Amino acid sequence: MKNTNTEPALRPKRRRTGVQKREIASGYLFILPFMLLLAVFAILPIFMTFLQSFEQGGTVGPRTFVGLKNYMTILADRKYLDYLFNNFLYIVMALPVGQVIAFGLALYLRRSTLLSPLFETIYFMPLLISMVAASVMMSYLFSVNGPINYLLELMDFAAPNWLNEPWSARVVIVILEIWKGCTFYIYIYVAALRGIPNDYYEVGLIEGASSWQMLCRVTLPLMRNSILLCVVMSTIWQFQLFDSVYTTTYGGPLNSTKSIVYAIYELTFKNNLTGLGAALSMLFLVIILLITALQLKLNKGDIEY
Amino acid sequence: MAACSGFAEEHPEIEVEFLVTPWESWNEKYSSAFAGGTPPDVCYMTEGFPSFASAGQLEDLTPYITEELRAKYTDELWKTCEYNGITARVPFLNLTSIVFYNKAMFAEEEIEIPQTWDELLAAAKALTKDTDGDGKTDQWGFFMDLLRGEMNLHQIAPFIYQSGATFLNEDGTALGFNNPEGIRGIQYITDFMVKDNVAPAIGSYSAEEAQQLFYDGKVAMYAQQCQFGQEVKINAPDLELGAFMMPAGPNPNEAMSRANYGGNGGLSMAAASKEKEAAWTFIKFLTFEENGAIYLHANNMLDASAEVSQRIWAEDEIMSVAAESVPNSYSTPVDPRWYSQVDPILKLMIEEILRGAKDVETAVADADAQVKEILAQ
Repeated sequence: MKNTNTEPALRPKRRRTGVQKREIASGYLFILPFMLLLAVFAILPIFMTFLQSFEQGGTVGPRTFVGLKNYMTILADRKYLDYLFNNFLYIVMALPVGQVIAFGLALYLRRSTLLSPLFETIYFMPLLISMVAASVMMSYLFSVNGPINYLLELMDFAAPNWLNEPWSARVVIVILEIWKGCTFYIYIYVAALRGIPNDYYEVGLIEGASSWQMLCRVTLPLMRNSILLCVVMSTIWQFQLFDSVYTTTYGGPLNSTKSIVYAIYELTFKNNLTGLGAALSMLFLVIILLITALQLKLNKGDIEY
Repeated sequence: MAACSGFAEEHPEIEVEFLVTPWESWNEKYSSAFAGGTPPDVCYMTEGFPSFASAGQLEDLTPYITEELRAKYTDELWKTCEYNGITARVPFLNLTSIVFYNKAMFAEEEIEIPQTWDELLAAAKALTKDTDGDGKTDQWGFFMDLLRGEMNLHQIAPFIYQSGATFLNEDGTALGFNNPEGIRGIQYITDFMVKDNVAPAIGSYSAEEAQQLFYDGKVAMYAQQCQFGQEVKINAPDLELGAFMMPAGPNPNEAMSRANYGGNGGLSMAAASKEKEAAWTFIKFLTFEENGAIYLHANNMLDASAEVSQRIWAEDEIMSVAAESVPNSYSTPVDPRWYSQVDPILKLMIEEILRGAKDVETAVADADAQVKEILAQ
């Protein structure tokens, strides 16, 4: 049988020199502050939440161990499934539209022109505006007597009560999310597009490829990692959706816009049911991890050029 | 806070740091402070105090309370301050609900102040108008703060009581309004929005927009807690503002036929306080009529005692009505599960009714079934 292992079977262990050891030690020292912050503000809270998910009691006062009761309560209550469904709806609506818009604008911004800095600044502005201010603005735009309905009435269209109907309220939240989130993706895509060597496009031109063919055969494959990053980020952010719901609809009408994170907030901080909130958080963490792992697996493979 | 200055003069040995906590984040901030072991020595506690008392976070004030202080308030009021055998707070203020109205609009239509449910509906109908003839109502007879976001239970609840029902049944095991009286009360007031169209329907305005309509003279009546008068004074100083007590419903108990929601707040001491004597000195200071009045006058609030309220607000046209309403006020049940588990169910129930997702009987029955399960635990 042919040995496919390219590594030598026996390789003498090389001793690290003093310089190498110092370099490794200094490397660890450099990442130590971040690791400490990660441990204190991410890993420890997740561990504490995990422990609390087996307890009953509020934020204040003693808690009692109740085993899996909180998990059983959540799994038996259909409303949490509805909230999860809302999260998936937001992903299905916001992710493709948001990515296409961001990619399209990035293609436009790829080439540096005299006006590029101006447009880049304009496109960056939504990220600078706080979600509360953006939500107030969106609520006004889509209010019964707001400018959007005014325009619709001018064009003889029926003016809907946007925030008062489940589907239209979800659409308003998705529009807000796309408007706020696109900015981030645009800059990821612009950076990736500017990183593609021009040689590929020159070869394509020589070979007589159309713009569409160059987009499909050159740009998109080479952007795969960036697109994957944005898709994963967008999925996670839509799962973490909270502030736009909190500031626009408070989860209404009839809980139709409520997301899982909003429900966690309500359980933990408004209803003082810390154990239930913790159990829902843990279940949600598992769902996000599974979906992220699936996305990464589906997009396995690096592109080299 | 002006009352703190008076305290500093009287007790220079005690330094008071006064912190204002916004309502929107009250629960989060208080929970974090108590959970983190850094609670305020003296704190304002709403009807939601049982969740802190049940966790052992509030000091039992029984040993501190003098006979004189106990005599200032009714036994019923003291009961609303007790939980699990301890007196967790001292009554401090009351926020009764009254009906604010636009005097000019009433005068224009020559409408008398409504004294009964029928008169209230008739007045609301007379004051609801399409003034520009475009087929849309632009002047409303009544306004309830049930337009968007979280439903405000307190807007509906007075009518449950005025009709002869209560929040919970006598033994506290189920809703006290899953009965003909309760359903009559909810039906009466929700019809204002869904059938008679004399109040803006849910979703038609934001609460802020509708309040602005009141300031602009486009809403004639608005039932709200008394401190709202302060907002009107600031936002619409030229509005001819009047107020009247809740009109009487069909409740055979005359006082409760004019029932109104009266949020009552008390002063508590943290069990973890290291300055308990100083904390009690401050609480005692605020319970003196003239000291408390400084704070209450500044914020359009009432003393927890009806007599004191009537005395300190005797000269004020609006607040004297609110003070007169103190004996008819009720608050939410003293149970830690009320705000954490029951309240969200009732808010959803109201929304289902107002949006026509369920009729009143079905919505109340469904809510009752859920509440029974919670209260049985």
